[in-house]
Amino acid sequence: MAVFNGTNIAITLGGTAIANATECSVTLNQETIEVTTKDSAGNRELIPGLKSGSMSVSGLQEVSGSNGIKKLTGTFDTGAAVAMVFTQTVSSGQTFSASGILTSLEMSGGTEDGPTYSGSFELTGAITKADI
Amino acid sequence: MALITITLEKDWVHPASKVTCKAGETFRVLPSLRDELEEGGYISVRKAARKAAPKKKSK
Repeated sequence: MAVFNGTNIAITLGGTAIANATECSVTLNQETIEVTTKDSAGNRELIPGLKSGSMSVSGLQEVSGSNGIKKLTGTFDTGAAVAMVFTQTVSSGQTFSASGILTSLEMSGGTEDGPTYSGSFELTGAITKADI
Repeated sequence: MALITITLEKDWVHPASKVTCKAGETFRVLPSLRDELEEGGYISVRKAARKAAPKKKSK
């Protein structure tokens, strides 16, 4: 079983990996349309509907570099969809590419805690899967 | 799609976020963006790419 280390997973935003991330994830959804009728013999019947997805990332804020929280706040300012890739830095696996709109961005800092950020992107358009 | 670590040699505006990245900053980027940055002169040209470049004919 060739399980790899989750540290090797990253999300890129406009081609650059979001820096200082501690967690990242992609969620793929398939909606369904109910087509149950009186002829369904008491069984629920569904047909496939829209596909959708989201990506999220969280990590630690840094003050100097421009590639972590600053890129996320900059993306929030533009409000535009950006090219995103959920990728792995290992030799084989899968990547998911799509355009994403930053819909939520949170920054927080607790006493005696590293200041954190978290951002969520709703994917728009096709989500392309590729094997690497 | 392995990520590649690059170091900027001059300031570059990240198109998606409009954030200005300063010379000397180090990022992990997709290979396609590395090629774009290389063509734009934002990072040094790799040795392999330099070798592959066609030689100019001498007059």
